[in-house]
Amino acid sequence: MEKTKIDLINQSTACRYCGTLTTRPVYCCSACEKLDSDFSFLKHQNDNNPHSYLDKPEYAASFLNENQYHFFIENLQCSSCVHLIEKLPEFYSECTVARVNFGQNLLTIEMTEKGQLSEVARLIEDLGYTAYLIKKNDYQNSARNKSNRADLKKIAVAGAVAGNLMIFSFAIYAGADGIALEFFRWMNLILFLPLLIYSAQGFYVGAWNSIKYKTIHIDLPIVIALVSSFVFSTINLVLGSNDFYFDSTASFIFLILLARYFVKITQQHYLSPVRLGSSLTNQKYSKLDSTPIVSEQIKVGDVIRIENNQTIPVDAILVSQKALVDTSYYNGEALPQVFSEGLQVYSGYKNLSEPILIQATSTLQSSQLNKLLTQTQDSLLIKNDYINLSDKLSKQLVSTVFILAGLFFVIYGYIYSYNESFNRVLALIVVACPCALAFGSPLTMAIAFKKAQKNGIALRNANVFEKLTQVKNIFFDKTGTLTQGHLSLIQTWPENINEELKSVILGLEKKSYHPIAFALRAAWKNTQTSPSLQNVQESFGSGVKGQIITPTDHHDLVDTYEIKSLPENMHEDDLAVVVLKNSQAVARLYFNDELREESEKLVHNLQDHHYNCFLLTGDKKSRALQKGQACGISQNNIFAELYPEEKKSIVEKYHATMMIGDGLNDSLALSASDIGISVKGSSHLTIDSSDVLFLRGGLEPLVELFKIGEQAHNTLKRNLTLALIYNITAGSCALLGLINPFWAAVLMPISTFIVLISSLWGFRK
Amino acid sequence: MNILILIIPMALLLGAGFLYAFFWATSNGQFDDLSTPSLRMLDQDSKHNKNDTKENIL
Repeated sequence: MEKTKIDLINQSTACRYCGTLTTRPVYCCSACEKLDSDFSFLKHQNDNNPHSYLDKPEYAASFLNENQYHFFIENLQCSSCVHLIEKLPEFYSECTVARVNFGQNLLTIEMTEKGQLSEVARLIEDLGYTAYLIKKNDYQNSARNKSNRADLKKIAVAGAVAGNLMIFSFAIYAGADGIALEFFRWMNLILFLPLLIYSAQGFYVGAWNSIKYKTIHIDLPIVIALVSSFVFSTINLVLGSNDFYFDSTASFIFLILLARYFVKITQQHYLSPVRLGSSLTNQKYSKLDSTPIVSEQIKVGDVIRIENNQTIPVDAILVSQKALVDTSYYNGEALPQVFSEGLQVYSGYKNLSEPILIQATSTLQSSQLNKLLTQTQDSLLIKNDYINLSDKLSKQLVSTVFILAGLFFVIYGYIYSYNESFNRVLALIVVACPCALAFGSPLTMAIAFKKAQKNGIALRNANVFEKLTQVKNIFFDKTGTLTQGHLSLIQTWPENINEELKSVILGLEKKSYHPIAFALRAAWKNTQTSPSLQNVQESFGSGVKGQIITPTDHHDLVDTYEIKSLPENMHEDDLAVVVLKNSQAVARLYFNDELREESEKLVHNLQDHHYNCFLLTGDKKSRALQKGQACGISQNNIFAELYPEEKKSIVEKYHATMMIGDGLNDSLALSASDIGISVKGSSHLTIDSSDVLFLRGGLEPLVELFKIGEQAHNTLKRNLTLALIYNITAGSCALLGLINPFWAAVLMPISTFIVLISSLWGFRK
Repeated sequence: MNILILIIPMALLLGAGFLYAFFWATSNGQFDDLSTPSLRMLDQDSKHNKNDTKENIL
């Protein structure tokens, strides 16, 4: 693994514009290339804007959110992308403000009244970005920012209070007397009030819910400790005693608030600002009479034209005679399929052939794709019920502490005095309050998140680490997960094909969106495409035909070239074609969707560690067996020709599951598994239904994830042990009457410090 | 000792002042996005100095 990393660095050069190391030639991304140029590629013309449908007032209004429009930009790469997009007002004078939020892939636009949304959309596209307008109702960022700001303010107040209280308390412990002592004593109370009333609000809500739903939540003991220490300290203040818990309570509230905030923002970072939604909304299509129509407005019976490389938005019947369709997004089938007139096609299919006509049999709302989406959303709701380890343990600890405190109060109070009994019980609750627990777990999580992020792993759910240690069954998707997800040319006959023939073959495939065409273009990058081909005809599913006509003195010499697919029983690869020149075979080309380099090693590695590996795919049985067994997955664990629902039900049969996938067809299984992982390049919906997203290509981050998971688990366990030891020692001291507020103020920071060191230590490698 | 009576309210007032400043900054959204501004700062390419910064890069 180390080696491949080093290889990558060796190959890379610095981007000419921004200096980022990159494996691409000259520039790291198109933004840098454009920023280094003179912007002449932007053609300012108002006619024929493909986005003009956005300007309809009722349509534009559904996106306007407090004078701002928000776009989700898919392919932001580096700082240059930010600069380039923020230059929008220079290119379009009606646009007044353009602000990018890099972390969340968001663009915020403000315009004058004359500004046209279509123009902005076109400019963004011209700059080379894929942008989605976010609907007003789907935009969650303003609500999120509002709550984050409120949290920050609460933390600021708690911090200020805790810091000042410490200074004043220190003066009291140090032996202040006279007016100064009185002054400091009352200042303690006054300073504590903002924290009690303002900063701790969140805990009250949590505690109230805990009572309402009759569950033990960590907020409940925190509130009890907070309120009882406040009441006790105030009574002592009035009675003239110096036994206060103001300072120690304030500092633990501050620390807990801080740790929680870190966990919250790290998680938010990866939640997309757009709510779970189909990427097919707001897409433009055209009707039979070429009037534009937006995907949501398509009604049953409408005849829609689907351009080359466009996705079918609704379930429909094919009207055109034939169509070559990529169904991988929907069912994971690796190779495109031919559909003929009258057959049912589903939303999410992609048209690879010439423009076709379809007649809608559903609306966007009632399409199969949308059903899948709703089901996924439903299963996500169920999933959040998971109870994690530290929660369970802290519940037990909390119950133990309270039972102990109750018993002690009654018995000691009965034997000696209730007054002294109350003092000791309160010391127990304040000292043994699960500070180390409440602070330690979120801190461990935050560090683990941060480390995962550095390794190209985005987590959307803090429970992932705890669930990781329990995982036994790992399900892999085939296409795009174990394999690279696209065909590559792996073998040719004859071994060396001359440049002339290559250029003819490329010429034949020039206009094609068939995976073979992409594979050939990738394999023969340096070959020129032959310009002299005539009469090129693509016949659906079976091949391409074309002619080269060379004029000679007497008559024209006609060479007919043809590319035909070979039947499956003649080869062992995913796809093979033969090239014919005047009906004579001149070359054969073999294609395969190759396994990723690391797949085999990874699966073997996992099986050595007693994980059960499975392969789930919508693709053909033969291909699934071939690829699965090449990875070392046993035949009984390979399931092929599955629909999304079937994938889900297989995953549900097992416990402690992890599913790794990339396609829409995996999304149900992803949300049904305990841990759903989507690999880089996954579709939007897939990302939304999984807990983990790999930002680095391939499956290598999985190894890293398991390692971080183990570290997190060990650290959590150590923190819990430390907290337990601390709680038992400090608790018994409190019950023996050895703890006074001074010792509480000393012990609590020490325990926090130990947990902090322990957490950092756990992730040192 | 009497000087404390003066110093402590002043210290608290100073603290309150900073707290207010923090509140003001938060309300203005200065902490909403912590990653992009650091990138924005690197934009060398404002209109008038475009040419000389180019040479600095190369």
